[in-house]
Amino acid sequence: MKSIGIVCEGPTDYILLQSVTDHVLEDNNNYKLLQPEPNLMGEYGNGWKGVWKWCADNALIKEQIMKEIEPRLDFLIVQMDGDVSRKERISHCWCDSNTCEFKRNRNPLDCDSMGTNARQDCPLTLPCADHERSVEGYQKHLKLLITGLLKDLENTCVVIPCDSTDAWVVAAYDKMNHIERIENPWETLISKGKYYHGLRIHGKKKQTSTYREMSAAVCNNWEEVKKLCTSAACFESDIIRLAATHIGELE
Amino acid sequence: MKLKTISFGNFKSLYNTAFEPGRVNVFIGANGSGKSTILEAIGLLSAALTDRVDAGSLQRKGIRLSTSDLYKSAFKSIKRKKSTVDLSLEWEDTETGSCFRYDVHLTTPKESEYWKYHSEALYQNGEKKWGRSNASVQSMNNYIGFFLIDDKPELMEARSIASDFSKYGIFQPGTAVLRGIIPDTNQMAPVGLNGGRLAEALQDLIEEREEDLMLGALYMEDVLEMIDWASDISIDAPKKKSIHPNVPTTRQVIEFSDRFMKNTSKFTGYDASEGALYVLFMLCLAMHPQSPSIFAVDSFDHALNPRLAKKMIEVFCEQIIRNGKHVFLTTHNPLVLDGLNLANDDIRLFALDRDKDGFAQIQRIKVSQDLIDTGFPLSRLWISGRLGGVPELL
Repeated sequence: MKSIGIVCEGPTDYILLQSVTDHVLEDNNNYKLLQPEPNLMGEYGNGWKGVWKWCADNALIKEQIMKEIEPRLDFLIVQMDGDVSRKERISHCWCDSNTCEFKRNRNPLDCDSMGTNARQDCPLTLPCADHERSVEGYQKHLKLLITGLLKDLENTCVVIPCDSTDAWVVAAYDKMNHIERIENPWETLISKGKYYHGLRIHGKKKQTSTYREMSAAVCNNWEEVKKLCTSAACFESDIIRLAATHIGELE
Repeated sequence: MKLKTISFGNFKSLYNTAFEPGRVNVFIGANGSGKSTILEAIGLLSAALTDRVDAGSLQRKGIRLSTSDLYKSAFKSIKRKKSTVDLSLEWEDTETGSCFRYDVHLTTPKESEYWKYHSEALYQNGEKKWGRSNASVQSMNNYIGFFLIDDKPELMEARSIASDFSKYGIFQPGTAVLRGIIPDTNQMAPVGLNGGRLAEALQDLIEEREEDLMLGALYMEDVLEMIDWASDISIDAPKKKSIHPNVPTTRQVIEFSDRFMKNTSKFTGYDASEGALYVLFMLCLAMHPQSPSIFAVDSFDHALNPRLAKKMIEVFCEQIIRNGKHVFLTTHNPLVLDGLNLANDDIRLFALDRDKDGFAQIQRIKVSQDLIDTGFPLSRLWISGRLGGVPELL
């Protein structure tokens, strides 16, 4: 059994990542859901900005946070949905094509608080000229963003499900080709009707109880999910690598 | 005497878990994670060790009464339900160095209100010294714990644990009881589980020593620092001028003087802040010579301002260790954690989380001195999720 810290966008992502990790490693692991401290306005405690903030806040003390509290964390999983690269201009603010005068001098999360027209005035355009508008492009961009903050990924798995973790769910239930290219699968596919493969969908919001059922389906169809989602396949190989490293450490 | 390990099996959410207690044991966890269940399971163990187990003995210890089946774990993943609730205690006699273990398997009540002793065993330094099973001769009256009444001289040293556990209770002070408006339904000496007779207990502790007014081992001035609006605390019979005739009262009342008011205007616990009464109650539990040597407090931080809760736990830990007691606490207040000196092995922090099957798991949290030195407070580590013991919410 391993102790694994998870930094993710929301509780449903946490449920899915736990289930898949247990399934892949064939073990009941011990998980800690790591959450950034919100700012004084109560912002950035979750979502992709929460993940960004956790990485920024804890980059320098990551090793201490992991190793100097018992039970120690064997490794970290950091998740950010690929749609961030597609939709959020400020996630590109460190790209070469960015001509913003505040580039690298300002915390990107502060862009939101730079006046009411901050978003409209932002010189960034999407799709970003530096990044290919593809699943691989989104993954590469966001992995680089997180690596830029955390620096060392030796004991960290960065997973970028495209367009979101919901794609893994659709892959499990519908075996749909090119699912990673479909934008917002939760709204366009899963929550379109009142039921999704017999599961009651309560409104547009994702419910953890529904996601627990969906996670079981993702695990039961994991081989298929990996074939259809490159992010799932990458995630599996990365956590297997980390788990093996941990066993090596023990020996 | 020092407790070493307490194990639980098949009791509510505690299907199979154990922990190694220190003197002060603080449990954190999400609502419904099993914190109060631990306090109850220890109560059940204490009843088994020192009394017969029935509704009365459990109620006296502050344990919520359930129907027979609800005491036992009923998880979906358990294929074959166990018939007994299994408890085990290991302890060390610090004077002789002997290590003991007491195992008990109890069946929940069926026809009568008594729990049955299915089997009991006592080990000393790994060697079985005494035991009985459902089939043995001593099973004739299996409603009574034989460990308690078997007066063999060789069991005397081990049996002293029973007196340590005999007064175990889960204290949960209630404001109305502390104010003296309603009686404590679980009264015991020196204070009831809900805070009854606090004034009398405090009177035992207040004394003048070398011209200093003391509350137990503490200078009254130090106590008053925690209750910062008060300039004096005394115990007296209720007076007409300080209690309204329509308000019920007790034989003795706590009188406070407010440092911002004239000396003549004393008022009683009925009018005082509930935080002040909670502070006095906790100090009484930690310091009164008649208070239990092993006990629990559910929601330690109740009614306390976060900063006061931090100070209170510091003082409380000091007195518990000084008096050689063991205490089990639950809290939801992060600042309580900042008052714990985890570098002291007598003070232990445990996080409770449900595993995949829903079984409550207890994990001791240890933090390196290096991390403590960075000034990173435990409260932040807890809220950020690193310690566990939080709900899965973001």
